[in-house]
This record gives sequence, structure tokens and C-alpha cells, in this order.
Amino acid sequence: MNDFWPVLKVTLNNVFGLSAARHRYLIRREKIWEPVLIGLTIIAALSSFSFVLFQPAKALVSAGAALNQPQLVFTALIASSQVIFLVTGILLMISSFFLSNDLTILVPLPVKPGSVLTAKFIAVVIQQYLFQVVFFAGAILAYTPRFGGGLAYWLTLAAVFLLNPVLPMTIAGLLTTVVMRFINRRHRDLLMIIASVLLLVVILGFQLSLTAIPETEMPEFMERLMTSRLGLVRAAGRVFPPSIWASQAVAEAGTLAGLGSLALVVGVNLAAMLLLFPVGNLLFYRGLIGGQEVARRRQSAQRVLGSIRQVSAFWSLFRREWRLFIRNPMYVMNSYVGALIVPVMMAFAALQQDALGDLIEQAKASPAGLLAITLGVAAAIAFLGSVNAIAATSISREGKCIWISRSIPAAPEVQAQAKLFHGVVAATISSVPTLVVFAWLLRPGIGPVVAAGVLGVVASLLPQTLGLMVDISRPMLGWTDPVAAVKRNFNAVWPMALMIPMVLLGVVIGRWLANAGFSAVGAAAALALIFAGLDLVAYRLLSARAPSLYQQLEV
Amino acid sequence: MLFIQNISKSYQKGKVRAVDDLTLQVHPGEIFGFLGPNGAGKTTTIKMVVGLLRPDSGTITVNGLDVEKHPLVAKREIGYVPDNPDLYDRLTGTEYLNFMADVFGVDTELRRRRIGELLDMFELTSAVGDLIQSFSHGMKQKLALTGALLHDPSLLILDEPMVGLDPKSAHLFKELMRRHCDQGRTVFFSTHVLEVAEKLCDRIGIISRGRLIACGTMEELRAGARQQQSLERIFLELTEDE
Repeated sequence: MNDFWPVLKVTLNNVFGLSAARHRYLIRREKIWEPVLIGLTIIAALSSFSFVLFQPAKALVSAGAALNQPQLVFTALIASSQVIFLVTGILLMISSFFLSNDLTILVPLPVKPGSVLTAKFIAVVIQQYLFQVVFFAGAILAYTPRFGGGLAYWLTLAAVFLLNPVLPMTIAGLLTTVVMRFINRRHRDLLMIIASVLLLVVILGFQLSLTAIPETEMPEFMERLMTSRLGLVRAAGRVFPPSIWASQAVAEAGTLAGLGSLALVVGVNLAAMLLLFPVGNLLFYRGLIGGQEVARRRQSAQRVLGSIRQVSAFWSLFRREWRLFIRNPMYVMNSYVGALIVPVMMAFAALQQDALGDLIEQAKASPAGLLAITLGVAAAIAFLGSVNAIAATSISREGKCIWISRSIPAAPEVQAQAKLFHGVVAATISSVPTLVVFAWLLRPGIGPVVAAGVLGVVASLLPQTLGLMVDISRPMLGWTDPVAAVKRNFNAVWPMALMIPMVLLGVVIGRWLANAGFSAVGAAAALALIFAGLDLVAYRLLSARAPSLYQQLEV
Repeated sequence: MLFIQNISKSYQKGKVRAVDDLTLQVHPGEIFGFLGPNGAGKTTTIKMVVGLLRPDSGTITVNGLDVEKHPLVAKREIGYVPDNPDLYDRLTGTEYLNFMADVFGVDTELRRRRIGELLDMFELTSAVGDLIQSFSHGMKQKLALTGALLHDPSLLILDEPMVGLDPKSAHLFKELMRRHCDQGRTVFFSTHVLEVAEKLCDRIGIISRGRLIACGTMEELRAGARQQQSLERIFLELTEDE
């Protein structure tokens, strides 16, 4: 264990950029407004997400209170978050354990592999706290004023909060380490794709299992679930059993039973984490070294030269963006899976729930309803195209290779255009599942489908352009783990933030157009023209600012 | 060919002066070796020449083109390989070379010929179809060199080019640098290998603490030294005084 603490210290320092931040903001005192702005952005983002989750949490507390189980809100929270941690953990652990750049420094050091593995594991777990604070905040705000309080409650809650991601992430970490020991580097991307598909299946399966309960049986199902002692706890626990103990600990905080559950939670989590040490010592470096054994395809000169041909600089820059993105399963997972899950879940819901089906029928019957749905679909496409972070992290993703973009004779505005075009292509691809579901459920004809698609992609261009400008201005280039460039990059937040006023603007104009008697296609076309105008202004600004922003990118 | 005039570069709001009023001229057809101890300012100078850093003051011209005023035209004249060739891991070698040739505007026929020659010389042909992530450091170095030479640059700038090259590749590369200069082009490179600089360079510049402390042919450097001696002795003598 002696070598663990220095490795942990340097890993946390490296992953979170602590020394770099201290040096920049406290010693050199450069851009000290940056941490303040970042802090305010995080608080604003967390507050708005927590507010969104507060309402369903409050409803769940009230429903649970009626059955004398108000703690059900924590049950649902812990179970669902642990399932997410378990599945996403596989991808995060592969990325952190086997793909990060600092391994070339850490591996030759005379430290135990288990120390390196555990330090990296802890860094990943800490990153999850920011994610789960959103969910916990909503539940705590809904539960505490009515039922919470007392030292035992807060201490139990703090312990559960800290330990919540540990066990599922440990299982993901152990699974990853064992599998990677026996898999060649060439197949690692395949493993990540399998993990992505698994995540998709879990989410869709969960959705399907809920919607598969006939509506007529839903009240009985819920009653049965809630009236049996800790019924929902056990139901959720079936998805991920260890969540039962944590839920019971919170539910019965301050009692002997609660203390027992908490002890069980702490014990199991610590035991699992301690298991990482021997497993890491045994398998981690063997998995890493195994990954270096690369089978090489022998190619003839004729074949190599045959694949060489000239294209324009713009097209070549776009192809570079496309290939570097699409060949990284973590990036694909982050940016495209949501575009598939959201419409498929909507389709399931529409198929299983009569109420939604009735709503769709009503919408089809009235022109205003079709207009509202067409604009809603366009808003969903614009949202998916904006939150994919493709343009908003495109400079950051270059990392240490940024010297290439800075030293080639390709105009910065052309480079920015190629990155933006990649974002537009991705938004267009992302729109397909949503449009297919729209066309299939409503059968609105080709006009509204095309109009929704065009409006959605056009509207997504504005936040993408803003995101790209922010990323050129302050890229996150010093990452060690490629996933950090996308997942831990605050530049990706700006397009999401811009979507809120854009949707409000769309709603106001959409209502006015509906009242003025516009058809769905006419309203979408009018809105597309308005957003295209805004896009043009943003695009001009980007093209004008790109050369000076690129020049400020000192490498 | 390359004219660096009174350039300075500071970090940390002027507290650290990396390059201090440096003036240097490199002529066409010349191999110029840029030497200096660690942290002397070699890489900072090179980065300013290729446009990765902006000088605080002074001007840099390549073939008469100010690199700050006409960056794109100036970059077309330059082929650059950094000290640590970080390349796109998820592109194949062929895709990387195609990309470099595209952005430098090399037509299909010419790029095929040059890529064929250079890959053959560096013995990379059979590996170039693989993802760069499978390449060794030396292979990446050779691929970066190949990419930098595709457009036949009039000024080749190399930061520690011999690091990572095997003896055969290093030998071939030295020959290539000589041939490049014999055709009237210029090579500007930094190195710690004094033997290479002594044997290969037409002129040598020695930088220490951001300032050029000596510049000239080997004979001129020897003449300026206390006694006739090797470049290593001259280097140690000059940098020790700093």
C-alpha cells in the first residue's frame, strides 16, 4: 500500500488538472475569472437539471407517503443510478485503464499494478459524483422537508451518496480487467461496441418492461409494489440487488436495522474495492502488455499506392474529422446512442400506452396538432444535434495532435467549416431514427417529415457554431484519456444552454404561425428560414474570428 | 531563405524569457544545425518559425514571406516535424499521408511517386495501411518525416529528428537531408547529437538562455574558440560560460 498514495495523488492531480489550475489561477493569476464562470455554469446547470427532476421526485415522495413509504424516491434513485453506473462503467473503465496516455509513465514505475488500477478507479468514481448530485439533489429537496432530518439521516445519506457508484463501478472495473487480459488490442474497440449495445439493450429493456405492463393492470401493479413492505425496493433490487441495502439504510436511518444495512453497504463496497488490488496485481499489466501485441496486415506497395488520390483540402479535413470520431467507440456512444434511444423509447411508449396513442390520433386529426408535433419533432432533432458535442469538442479532441492543424497551410476558417460540417452531418444522421418514428407513428406524409428534419438540422447549426467558437477559444487539449475531451469538457455545455432560449423562441413563433393559419410544412419552413438567418450570422462570425482564434491557440 | 530578426518570447507574463532578441539567417541550400542545452529556447524558436507560437516581438520571414502576416503561404514553404511526433492514432498511415498531401495541394501522380519513394526508403510500405496506434515511436517519426517531405518543402524544419530512428534510417535520413539541400532547399534542425551536427551541418547556431551565443561554420566556431577543438568542447565551453 505504500506505493498507492503517491500514485493516487499524481493520478488525481493529472486527471483533474489540480497543479495546472493552481499554477494558473493562484500563482500566475491568469484568467482568474475562469473558475468563477465555470463554477457558476456548473451551479446553473445542476440547479436547472435538479429543478426538472424535483417535480417527479416530489410526486414519488407523495405517492410513497400515501402508502407509508416516502423513501421510495431514494429506492428508485439508487437502483436506477447503480444500473447506469454498472453499464457505463465498463466503457469508462476501459478508457481509463487501457487507453489513457499516462500509462506509459506509470507502468515502468516500480509500483504495484493494483495501485495504478485502484488509483485510476478512484479517479473515475470521483467523476461520477458530479453526475449523481443532480439526481440526489432532486430527491433530497423533495424528501427532506417532510420526512428527513436529524444527524443520522444526513450521515447515512452522505455515506450512501459517496458509496453509491463504488460497487457497480467496481464490478465494471473487475469485469473489464479480466476480459482485457484475454483480448487483443484490435478487439478492444469491439468490446466497447458490445458494451454500448449492452447499455442500449438495458435501457430499452427497462423501458419495455415498464410499458409492457397493461395500463389496466398498472394501478394493481403499483399498489402491490408499494403496499408490500419495501416492495418497490425489492423490485428495483432485482435489477441490481446491492441497491436494496443502500435503500434500506436511508429508509431506516437512525435505527438498528438502518445501521446494519449501512454497515453492510460499507463492508461490501470496501471489500469489492479491496478486491481490485489483488486482481489488478495479477491481471492488469498482463492485459496491458497483451494489448500491445498487434497483428499487422502486410500490404503491397501496389495496393498502398492504389489507395492514394487527391481530394480538396475541405473534403480531406472533413474526412479526418469523420474518421477520427467514428473510429472511437466512446465518442460514437456518447454522441449517437441518445439519438437512437429517445425515438425508440417513444415508439415503445406509443405502442404500449393507449393514452399516448389517443393523443397521436387527436393530433393527426387537427392541423394545429400536426403543426405542434412537427415542430416538437424538429426541436427534438435540434436538441439531439446540439448535445452530441461533436462540433463543440472538435478542437479539444485533437489533443496533442493540434500541432498538425496549426502547422498545415489550411485556412483556419476552412478547418472550422470542416468541423462544423461534420456536426451537421452528425445531426442529419441523428435525425433519421426520430424521423422514422415520426413517419411511422403519425403517417403525416413526406412534407412534414422532411420539414421537421430540415428545421431540426438547421436549428442545430446555431448552437453547434457557438460551441465550436467556444472550443476554439478555450480548448481542452491536455487530456490523458480521450474520453475526457468529450465527457469532462465544459465547452459541450454551451450548445445545450443555448437550446433553452431557442426552444422558447420556437414555441412563441410557432404559436403565432399556428394562429395565423400556417400548415405544419409552412410553419417549419418559416422557422427554418429564421434560424437559417441566425445560422448565417453565427457562421460569418465564426469565419471572421477563426483566423485570430486559431492564432491564439499556442501549442 | 529563413530570416529570424530580433524575436523574443516570454512566458508567465514576462517572468520567463524563453527567447531573447534572437537574430539568425539561414541561406538557401544550407543545412543549419541549431544546438543548445535543455530549456535553451530551441523548440520555442522552432515553434515560432512554423507558426505554433507567436513571438512577442520581432519578425520571421521564409522566402521573404512574413510568417505572421502571410501564415498560409509561408506554411506551404515549410515541412515540419516536431520533437515528439503525436499523430492521429485512429488514422492509417496511408490516410495520414493522403491528408497531408491534400492540405499541401500535392496532386495524385506526384504524391504517389513521392510516397512510394519515401515509404520504400523508410521501409514502411508494408505497415502504412495499419492504424497509426500500432506504430512504434520510430515508425511514427518516419511517417511524420514522410508527411513533411511530400510537398517537397523549400524549408524543412526538424526538432530533434534523429530521436527514435534506427541507425539505418538515421543514415538514410542524413543522406536525404543532404540531397534536399543540394537541390537548393534548406534544412533547419535542432539536435543534441553533436557528432551529427559537426559532420552534417554547413553552419551551426548555439543558443543558450534564449540568446544566440555562437553562429557559423565549424571552422568559424573553432576559430572563435580558445583552441582548435571538437564541437562538443566548443559547445561545453560556450554554454558553461552562460
